[in-house]
Amino acid sequence: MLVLSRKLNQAIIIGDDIRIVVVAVERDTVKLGIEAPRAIPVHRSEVYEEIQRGNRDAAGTAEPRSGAKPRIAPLGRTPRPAPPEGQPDS
Amino acid sequence: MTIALPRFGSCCYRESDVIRFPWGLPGFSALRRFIPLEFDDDGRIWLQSLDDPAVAIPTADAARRVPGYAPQLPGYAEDSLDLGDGAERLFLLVDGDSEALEPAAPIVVNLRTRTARQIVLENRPRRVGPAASVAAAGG
Repeated sequence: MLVLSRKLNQAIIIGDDIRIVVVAVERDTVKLGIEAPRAIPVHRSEVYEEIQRGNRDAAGTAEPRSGAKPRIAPLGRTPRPAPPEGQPDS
Repeated sequence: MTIALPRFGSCCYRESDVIRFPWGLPGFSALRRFIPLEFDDDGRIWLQSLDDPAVAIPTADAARRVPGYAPQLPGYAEDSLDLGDGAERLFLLVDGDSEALEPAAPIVVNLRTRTARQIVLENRPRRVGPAASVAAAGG
């Protein structure tokens, strides 16, 4: 890991267009300002890692609540209500 | 096309059913192609990976489980998924066995292009259970 020392208001540049500035230092907390292109997502690592764990856990442990065969889910469409008894589902 | 799935048996799908994740998913960064599956009475939409048939992520349609769920998406999400001009979008929330949905990281699907990305929201709404209130997921 590259380790750099910075003082208040000093910055580092990553690539050509990402700039990280030390904007405040308070006891055990460092506040960073991040300037990055709109297309670059920036996350606190613990938040991102929690989402990673949640995805892996869900994929690894959850089971269907029904034993039926899977079928393609029609995304974004509200299912039609069941036809009244005695009428064909046209 | 038919794919053999180790967890669910075989399943038929068309290329137009595929949802593309060009940036992968947190925890599954190498998986790019999924199909949405459902089971009778299950109430979930399973994102079944075509790249790794052992991976299927259970999700729920936020519109059905969390009324009023309409998170403010960051700019990179709107841009990368081409969601401008009112593009029709779908929010899926990971729905594991914990009895609580995670509203802070919706999987956003552009229904026209069938391109999707999981977005980690900075202003995190709190987790919501099966009987959650609308106010819990405002954004």
